Amino acid sequence: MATITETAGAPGMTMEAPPTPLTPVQHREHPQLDEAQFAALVRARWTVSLILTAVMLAIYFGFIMVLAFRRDLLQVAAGGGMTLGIPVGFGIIITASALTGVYVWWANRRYDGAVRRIIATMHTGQTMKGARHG
Amino acid sequence: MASEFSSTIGQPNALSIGFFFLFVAFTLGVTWWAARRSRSAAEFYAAGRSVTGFQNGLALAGDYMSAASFLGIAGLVALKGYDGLIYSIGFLVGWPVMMFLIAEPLRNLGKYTFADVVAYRLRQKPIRVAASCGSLMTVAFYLIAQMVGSGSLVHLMFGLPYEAAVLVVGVVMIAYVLFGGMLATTWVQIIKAVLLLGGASVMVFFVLRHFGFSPAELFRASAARYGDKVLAPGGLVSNPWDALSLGMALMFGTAGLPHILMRFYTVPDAKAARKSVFYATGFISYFYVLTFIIGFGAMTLVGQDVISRFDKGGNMAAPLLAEVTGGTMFLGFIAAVAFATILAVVAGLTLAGATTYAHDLYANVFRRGRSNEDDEVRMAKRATVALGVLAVALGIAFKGQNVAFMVGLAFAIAASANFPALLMSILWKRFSTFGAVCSIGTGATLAVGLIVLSPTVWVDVLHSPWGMAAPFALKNPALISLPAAFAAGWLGSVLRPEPDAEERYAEQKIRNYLGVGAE
Repeated sequence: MATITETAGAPGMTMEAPPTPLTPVQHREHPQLDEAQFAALVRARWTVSLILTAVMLAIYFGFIMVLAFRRDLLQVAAGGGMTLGIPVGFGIIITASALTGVYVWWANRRYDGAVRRIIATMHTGQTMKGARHG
Repeated sequence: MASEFSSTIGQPNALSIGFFFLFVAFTLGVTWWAARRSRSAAEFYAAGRSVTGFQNGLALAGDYMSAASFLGIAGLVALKGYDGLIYSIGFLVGWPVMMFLIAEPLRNLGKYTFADVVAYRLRQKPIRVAASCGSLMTVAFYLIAQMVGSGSLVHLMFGLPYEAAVLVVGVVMIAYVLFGGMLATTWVQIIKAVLLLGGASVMVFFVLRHFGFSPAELFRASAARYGDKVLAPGGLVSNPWDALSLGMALMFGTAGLPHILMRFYTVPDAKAARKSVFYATGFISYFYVLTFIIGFGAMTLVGQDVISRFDKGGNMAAPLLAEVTGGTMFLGFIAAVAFATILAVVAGLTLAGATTYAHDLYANVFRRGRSNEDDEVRMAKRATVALGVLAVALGIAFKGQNVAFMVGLAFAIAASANFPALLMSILWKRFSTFGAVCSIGTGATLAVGLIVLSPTVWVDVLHSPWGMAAPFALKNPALISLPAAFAAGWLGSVLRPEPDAEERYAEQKIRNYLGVGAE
């Protein structure tokens, strides 16, 4: 089985045994892992994810509650032959797509770079070990 | 217009049969090409992880946009107006949630199925058995609903006998999956998505041309004929608890559908997985905007009375509109696209079911991880044939039955049995094997048990046995079954902790967030 460090950055094509049972190699601590940086990465990832999830939940369930209790709000004429309900409905559809765009934008701009930096520090300390285990 | 309306719908139509044969011939050609690239397990289950983010986005959309949502939602809009849009929105909002919570961890931690993720640091056997139950139940209910729907739709459109339609769908779908594995399935889904989005776009173009390319004119014409009520929400959401419960099933169920989750393993890495949800959400959003316009187009240009004369549920609204706006030729094309749509969705479901059997049950439970890859692929192929035959048999057995609840049930099981265990295994260090089994068991049992006792099955399917009112008031069980599954997962993990699994959490986190060691 390949070592962890070798597959880093180029995941994908290799065929390996099922992920468990773990080999001692995988069990090994990552002495070079910058714990503080890694913890910050995980925290940032879930802060962004959970905020975006909360926004989506609030919009959708807010819409449902308006439909259930104040349907009349969406029956108001909104000009152009439409009721307010139509732009609101389309707005939710567009917002759902836009939120996925926001996440991709954030992940491409911030997350991926941070991952590369953390992996780079791990590599500098492990090239020797990687060669020995390979 | 309404009284002398005549249509070729329901008669064997040479053009649509021609288009359909063209599609089948072309996709079988793709399958032949894919067959040589579908030998190893990673090729058969995951297309060799060679699919790009954009391609996977299209394939995800093709996997998700069923004939039921194309014909059904267009019909709902045509007959009920605005309420159809509420329905579409429900089926869309699960996608962003899946991206934010599940997509990347799933890709980094798993190999072929979502059970790989749950079993990552827990005990293989109990987890694989439990997760397979959740997976196979979701696939089975979704598949039955699709097969029964396909039989009736093809019968309505081509006048082909129901049984023959189900058989054709079954045979072609088995051919795709058996010989071409995930690679062929992916391309069938991509081709179908392009045809469906293209066909629907052309139909919308035809509709808007009638109204000087002004949607406002279309809405005005609809309101002039059927009253302002078609432009505003009607009675679809009357009970807030029902709406909340169904909303939860749709919101979190999407992130627990095995055939959708499996598609994330076809891309090379987590970045591509994330990108593919972005594209998929965009395509599905666009599709729902199109179906809304198509529905209103059918309402005004075909007429509600004509639509309900062909099918009370409104399923023929889109084909009728195609005929009115583009003639028999366009009808033939749209009918063939609807047929292709059914094929792509059932192929994805069958592949997910076969993978669950071969990878989770056969390789990791029956053979305890000692089988080789060739055995596993051989078992997956056998399971494909068995599932295909079963799907045809069930499709015929459920002919004429009310199966509308099955899609809602599939989403409820996905949201209650699959999603909580998946999320807890990713996020919670102290999640244990016992907790996972409790969570999956509770979610699946409550989802199925409560839906039987709900008005959806108790009243609509069983016709109130012993003259009793439905013992469970909500139409969808997710409001109860989803929180219960989380609670059971927590309780089980607290009662029987697993120090081993806790220890491995640090290593899981590194693979999850950095992609280090991912397949």
